[in-house]
Amino acid sequence: MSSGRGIQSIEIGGRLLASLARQSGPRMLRDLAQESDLVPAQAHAYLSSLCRVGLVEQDSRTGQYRLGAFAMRIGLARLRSVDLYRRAGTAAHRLSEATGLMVILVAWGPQGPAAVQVSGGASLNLNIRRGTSFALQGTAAGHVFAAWSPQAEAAEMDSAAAIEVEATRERGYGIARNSPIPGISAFSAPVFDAAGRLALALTIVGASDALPDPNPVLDDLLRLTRALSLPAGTDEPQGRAQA
Amino acid sequence: MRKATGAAALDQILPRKEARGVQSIEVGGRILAALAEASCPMMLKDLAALAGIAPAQAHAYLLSYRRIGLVEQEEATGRYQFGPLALDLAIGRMTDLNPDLIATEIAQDLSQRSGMTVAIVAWGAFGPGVIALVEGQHQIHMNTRAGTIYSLTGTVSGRVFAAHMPERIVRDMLRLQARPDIRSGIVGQLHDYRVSEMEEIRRKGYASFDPLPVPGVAAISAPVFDDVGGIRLALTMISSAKRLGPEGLAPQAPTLVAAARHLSQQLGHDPAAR
Repeated sequence: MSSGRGIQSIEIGGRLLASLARQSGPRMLRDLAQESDLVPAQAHAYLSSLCRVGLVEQDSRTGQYRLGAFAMRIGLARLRSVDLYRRAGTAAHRLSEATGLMVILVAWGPQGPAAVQVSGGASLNLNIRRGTSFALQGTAAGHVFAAWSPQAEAAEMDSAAAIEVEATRERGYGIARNSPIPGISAFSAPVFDAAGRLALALTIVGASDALPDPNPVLDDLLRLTRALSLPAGTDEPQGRAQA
Repeated sequence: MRKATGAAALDQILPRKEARGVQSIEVGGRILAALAEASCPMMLKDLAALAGIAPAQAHAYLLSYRRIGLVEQEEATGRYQFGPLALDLAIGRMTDLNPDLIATEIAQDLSQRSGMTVAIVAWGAFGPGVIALVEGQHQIHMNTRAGTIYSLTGTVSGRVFAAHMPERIVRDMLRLQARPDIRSGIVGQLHDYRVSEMEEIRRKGYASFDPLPVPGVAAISAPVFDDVGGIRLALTMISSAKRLGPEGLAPQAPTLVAAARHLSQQLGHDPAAR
C-alpha cells in the first residue's frame, strides 16, 4: 500500500472493467476472468466488490455481469468536468432547442464512435439514443472520425468509403444524405481539443427536406464547432478543421 | 433459467449470501463516489477529505486510477477528474442499457406495488404517446393502449410534457394537435396553454387534472428526465375513479414521483447537474 506504487487491486479491477467495456451485452464470469488473466474465484471476488461500488451489476436470473449505473454516472461526470465536453454539450443542447433538430454529441468509445448525448428530434422517430454507435462507413459522424481520428486509422475501408473520407477531410464536415435512413439526412462536424486532436463530433439530424446543402443550420453547426475548437480564452481562428 | 449450464457452474463458485470481496476496490469506490459527487475537478486533499480517507492513502489509489485511465489530472492545476476510461465505461453502459426496457421494469414494479395501471408515455410526431401500458389489478375500461396519443393540454401525461418542454415546441405541437385530422385521433380535449398551470405542475412534481378528462378514469403523471435535464418520458398512474377515495390518486403521488425519479437516475439524470 505504499503511495509510490499504487494499489494493485485497483489495476486488476481496471482490467475487468476494460473487458466489460470492450464487448457489449452481459458477460459470463469465466470469459471475464480469462480476458483479465484471473482465475474465476479471484475474478468473482473483484466483481462482487465492483458490484457493491455500482460500477458493475449482475443479472439475478442469469448470473451474468454488465456495467452498472455508477459507470454511467462517472462518464457523465467526465463530460461535465472536462471544459471542452461541457461547452460542447451545452451548445449542442441549445442548437437543438433553437432549430428543433436532433443534435448528437459523438465521442470515440471502446467500440468506435458512439452517441454520448442526444438532444431533441423525438418527432423524427429514430432509434438513435445515447450509446448508439455509428459505423465509420456510411454515417456522417463515422466519416468525421475516419477523417481525423488516429484511433480510426486501423479500420479497413473499401475504396468508395476512402473517397468519402477524403472528401470529408477537404470539406471540413461529414454528410450522410438519405442514408443509412431514407428521408433522413445528417451533417457532422469535428471538434478539436487544445492539442489539435479530434475530441468529439457534433451531428445534426433532420428530415432531408428540412436540411438542404447548403443551409443556415449547417453554417450554425460549423461556426459552433470552430468556436469550440479554439483553446478556451483565444479569439484567433486556428483553422485546424481545414488542415 | 435460460442458461442452465452457466447458472449451475456459477452456483458452485458463488456463495449465495455475502460474497467475499476485495476491500481496496470498495475503499477506492469511496474516492470515485466523492469525485462523482463533486462533479468538478478536485484537489487531492479535498477529495480525500470528502471520501474520508487519509491524503497519502488516497494518493496511492489515485495513482492506480490514473494508470488505468479512470482518473486524470488537469495539467495546469493538478486537480483530479474522471479520465477516458470513465467515458468508455459510460458508453458501454449506455450501449447495453435499453432505456425502454428499464422504464418497463420500473413501471411493472410500480404497478405491482400500487395495484394501479401504469403507462409509459414518450414524445412523438403527433404529441405524447403511450409506448407501453402495464395493467394493474383491476381492469379499467378506457381509451388508452400502446400507441394512444394524448392531448397536450387536456390529459395529465400531456400536461407533464407541456410543463417541461420548451414553450415554442409546445405551442407548435398544440397547433398541430388542433388540426381536425389530428385532433380526431387524440385522447382528451384541447385546452388553453396557461403558463401559471405549467408552473404549478413543475412545482408539485406531477400533474393531476380536475375534473377528470376521461369520465370515471383518474390519472396522475410525473416527468422522467435524461442527463441533459430534458423530459424524456412521463410515468402515468391510472385508476378507475370509483375505486378511489375522495382524494383520488393524490395519496399515490409520492410513490409515483419516487419511481419517476429512480428511472431518471437510471437514465443518467443528475439533479445537481443542471
